[in-house]
Amino acid sequence: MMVTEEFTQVTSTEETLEAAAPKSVDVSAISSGSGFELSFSGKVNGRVVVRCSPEGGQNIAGSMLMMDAEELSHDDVSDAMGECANMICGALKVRLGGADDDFQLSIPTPLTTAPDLPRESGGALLYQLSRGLVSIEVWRD
Amino acid sequence: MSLKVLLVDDSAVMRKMVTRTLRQAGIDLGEVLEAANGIEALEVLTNQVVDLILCDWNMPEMDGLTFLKEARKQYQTPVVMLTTESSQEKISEAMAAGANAYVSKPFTPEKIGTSLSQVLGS
Repeated sequence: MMVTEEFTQVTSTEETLEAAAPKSVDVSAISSGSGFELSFSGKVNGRVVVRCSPEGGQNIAGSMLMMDAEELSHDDVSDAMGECANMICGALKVRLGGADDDFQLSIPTPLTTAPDLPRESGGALLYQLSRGLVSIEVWRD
Repeated sequence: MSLKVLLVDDSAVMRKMVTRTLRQAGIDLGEVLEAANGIEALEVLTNQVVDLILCDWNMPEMDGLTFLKEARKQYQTPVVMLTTESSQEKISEAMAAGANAYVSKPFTPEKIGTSLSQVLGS
């Protein structure tokens, strides 16, 4: 990964991020940042959501483009997060799809609102970057 | 000799990253042309002769595999697929369609430099 900042995993949970994150981590920042959603289908159907706080998005985009936060446009950050979501899902594809020849991933689409996700089956990883937060959620339909 | 390269990826960030990574890999880049999908890439190729094409797989309008198959009907320009699709099935599919090499994202300058050296023979 081109991001050079250290990722510190804060929590890995099968509950919602809001319920399970340590009290020292303000996950509300995630909801005000960028996010991308991809759906997957095959023997298993569901969604992957990658979200970041505003600082987290700038952190990642700045590392990918080797630019300072002040130089980044909203489109730069959004595009970088979409590409991150794409790369994360590429890595997850083998684990989620296994030997499923019909396994397909959609093109990442920006989150315009907080996704209405089924919480019955899935999990989330929350990462504290040196600046900002990133969450990766995988939910089965 | 400077390379004239066509980058095909729907992500503007990725096109910038690839350009930077190619320079970090020591590739002598001349003109870099860009296209956001396979249709735009085919349009570029009707008017421009390029030395190398670097192409993503998952793109709107026309994906990378379809572009590759269409391009191979007319052009023998070296094509390197740069993509998150990493299954052996997808790799085989791309190579059978005429790709010269396949590099999985994320990639390092060393990884892409090695691949291009093999493709371009330098």
